[in-house]
Amino acid sequence: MDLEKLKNAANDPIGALKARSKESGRPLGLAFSSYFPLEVLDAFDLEGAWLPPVPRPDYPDGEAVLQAFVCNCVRSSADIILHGDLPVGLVAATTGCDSRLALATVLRTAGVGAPVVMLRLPVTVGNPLAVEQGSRALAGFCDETRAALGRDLDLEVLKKARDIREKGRELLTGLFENMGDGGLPASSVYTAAVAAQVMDPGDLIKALEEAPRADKAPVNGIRCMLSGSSIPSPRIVEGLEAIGVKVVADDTCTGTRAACRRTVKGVDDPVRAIGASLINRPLHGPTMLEDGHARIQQIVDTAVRRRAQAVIMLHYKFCDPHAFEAPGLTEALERAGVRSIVLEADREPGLTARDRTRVETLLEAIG
Amino acid sequence: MKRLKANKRMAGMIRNQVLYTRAAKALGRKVAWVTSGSPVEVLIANGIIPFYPENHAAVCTARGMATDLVEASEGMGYSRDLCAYFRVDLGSMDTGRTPLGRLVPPDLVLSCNNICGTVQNWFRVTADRYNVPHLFLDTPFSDDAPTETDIGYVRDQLLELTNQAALIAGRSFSKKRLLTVIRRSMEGLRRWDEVLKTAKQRPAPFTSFEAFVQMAPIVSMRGTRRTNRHYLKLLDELRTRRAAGVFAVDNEQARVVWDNIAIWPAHRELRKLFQENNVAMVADTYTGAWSSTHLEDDPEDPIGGLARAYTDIILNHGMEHRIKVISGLIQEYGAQGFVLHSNRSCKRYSLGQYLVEKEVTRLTGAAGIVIEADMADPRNVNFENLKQRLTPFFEMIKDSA
Repeated sequence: MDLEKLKNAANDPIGALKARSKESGRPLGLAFSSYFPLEVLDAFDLEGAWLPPVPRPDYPDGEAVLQAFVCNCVRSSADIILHGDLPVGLVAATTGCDSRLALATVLRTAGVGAPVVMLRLPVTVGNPLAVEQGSRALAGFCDETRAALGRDLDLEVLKKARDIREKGRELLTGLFENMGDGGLPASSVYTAAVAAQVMDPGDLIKALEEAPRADKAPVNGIRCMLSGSSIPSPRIVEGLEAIGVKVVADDTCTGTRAACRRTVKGVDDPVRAIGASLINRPLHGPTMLEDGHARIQQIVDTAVRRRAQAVIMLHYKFCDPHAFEAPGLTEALERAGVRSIVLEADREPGLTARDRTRVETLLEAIG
Repeated sequence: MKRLKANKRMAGMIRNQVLYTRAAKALGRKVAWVTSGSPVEVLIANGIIPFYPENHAAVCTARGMATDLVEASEGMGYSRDLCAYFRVDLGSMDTGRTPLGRLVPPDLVLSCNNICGTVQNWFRVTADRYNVPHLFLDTPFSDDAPTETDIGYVRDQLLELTNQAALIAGRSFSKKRLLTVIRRSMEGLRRWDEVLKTAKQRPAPFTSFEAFVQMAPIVSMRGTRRTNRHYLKLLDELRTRRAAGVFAVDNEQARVVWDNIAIWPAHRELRKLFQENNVAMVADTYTGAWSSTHLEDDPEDPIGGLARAYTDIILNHGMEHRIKVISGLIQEYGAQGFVLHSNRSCKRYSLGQYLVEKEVTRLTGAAGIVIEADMADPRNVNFENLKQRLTPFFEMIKDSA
C-alpha cells in the first residue's frame, strides 16, 4: 500500500480535492453521506467525492447560516462549500438525519454557486417497498441532475465507474477485516478509508494494491472495536493506538459501513441496480430503521467475533441518530460481556485530553 | 385577557380522554402511542385509541415537571442534546410521574417521520420498553409538493399499516368506517382553521398563545365528535368576546408571526410580555400545520387521500417552503414582524432560521428576530434574556406599524 499517497489525501482532503479537479479539468461533485453512490457523479462528468468533515476551531461561513447545535460534519460541510474556493460543479445532498436535511436546503437558500440536488432515500430498510423506493429515488436524482447540469448521465461511464468504485470498496473491506491481526494497523487502515473519500478511484486502487505492506500492527494493545460516525482524521486513531488501544474491528460511517455496499451485476438498468444496492447494503447506519435490532446485533456479533474487549463509540456532539442508539448499544454490549465508552467529537482532529484520560481509565479497568 | 372558558372545557376533555382510555383498555380495546403527524384515522377506524406522547410532554412541561423528567432520561444515558419532548416522555415512563394520573401502556406504537427524524428513534425506544410492535410510516421529504411517486410509496405503506392495525385490533378493515373518521377529521380541521383565522380580525380576539393550548384536541382527538363540538363552542365564545370588546391584547399596537413550537417553560411569562408590550402574536407555523392538512374523502381511495395529506406537511418540506409560508402569514394576518424560535430541541424546525430571517425580510419588508430557547427543557430557557431581546424588537415594529 502506498501509505504516503494515502496520508497526503487523508491529512489534507481539501487540498487533494483541489488538485484532483485541477488535474482532470473537471469540477467536483460533492456528496456528504456514505449512502451516496459516487459512481453516479462520475457518470455526470464530475469528480465524485464524499466531503469529509474537516476539524477546525471555527467555521465562519458555516456558523453564519447554521445554529450552534448542529454536528461538526454538517457545520464543516456548510463552511467548506460556502467558503467558495473549491471548484464545485454539483452538491449531492442526501436525506438522513434532520441536520443533513437542513444542510441541503441551507446551501440552496444561501445561494451556493452550484446546483444542490437531493437524493431522497427511504429511511426504512429490509422490505421490498423501500428497495423499490430507493431505486426510484436515485432515478429521480438523476433526472433532477440532468436538468440542473444540462447534460445526460453517461451509462457506459456509469457501469465502469460502478465497477472501479466497487473494487475500491472491496479492497477497503478486506483491510478492515484483517485490521490489527496480521493485517495493517488501524491508523493505516483509517488513513486509507479517509483518503478513499476524496481520491480518484483509479488512483485509490493503485495506492491500495501497491506492495509492500511496511507497517506492523501494535502487538500489546487492548483489543477494541471502533463504532460510530465519520472519522474526522486518522489522528484520532493514532491517538488511540498511542495509549494502548489495538483497534481490531470497525463499525464507522467512514469505515466498513461506507465500504460494504455491493451492486448486483448483469442488471439491464444500472441506475435501478445501484439504487437498490443503497437499501440492500449489509450494514446500515442508525439513520435507517431496520426490523428489530439488526444493527445493534451486528455490532455485538462483530465485537464478539473479533474478540474485542471494548467498543469505543465515536460520536459527534449533536448527532441525534448515534446519541439515540448509545444507551441500547451499551446495554447489549454489557450483556455480551463487552465494555464500552462514548467519546464525543466536535472540532478537534485528534483525541482531547479528557477523552484520552477516559480511554486510559477504561484500558486500566480491562487490565 | 380573561381566560377562555374553552381552556377549562379542554382540560376536562384531556382528563376524560385519559379516563376513557383506561376504561376502554380494561374492556379490551387497544391503545396506540402515536406521533402528532401520524394518520390516526386508520387507527380510530379500527377501534384503536391513540395517545400522544408529544402532547403529554408539553403538558408535563407546562406543569413544571420537565427538569426532573429530562434528568431522569439523562441518567439512563440519553444525551441532553436530544429532543426534550423525548427526554420528558421517557423520564415519565421511567419514573411513572405524570400530571395525568397514570398512563395507559401502549399495545402498539405508530410513528411517522413527516414531522422530524427524531420520532423514529423515540418511538423505537418506546416500543422496546413496552415490548410492543412499532408501526412506521416513511413519508419522503420534498422541497415543495410531494411527487406522485412519493405519494404512491406512502399509499402502499399505509395499505400495509391499515391491515396490520386491523390485525392487532382483531377487526377487519372497513372502508366505510375509515371514510366516516376521515370526514370527522376534515370537519375538525376546518373548524380549527376557522378558529385560527379569527386572529385576522383587528384587534385579534385570539392569538397563537391561546392556539398553542387549544390545539390539543385537533392533535390528540382528531376524528372525534367531541373535538368538533369543542371548536364550534370556541368559535362561539370568540364571537361573543369580540362583540363584548374583549380582545387577546389590550390596545393592540403591532402584530407578529411566530415560527416553531411554543417555549413551554416560559409560555405564561412570554404571553404576559407580549400583552404588556401590546403586541399580538396573530399566527404561527406550528398550530397552522393542522389547519393546512388537506384531507380528502375520496370514497374510492381514502387511503390515497391520507397518503397525500400526511406527506404534504410543512416540516416535511425544505426551507424555501417555510419562507413562503411565513411570508404568506405575514401578509395574510397583517403582521409587522416575525419571531423565529431557534429551538434547541428541534433541529428539523430550527436549523437554518438565520437565512429564513433574511429571506422573509427581503420578501415582505417585515422585521424578524431569532430567539434562542427550548420547547421543553427549562435549563435551556432564560426568560430574562428573551425579554432583553424582544423588548427593543417590539418597540421597533410598533414604530413601523
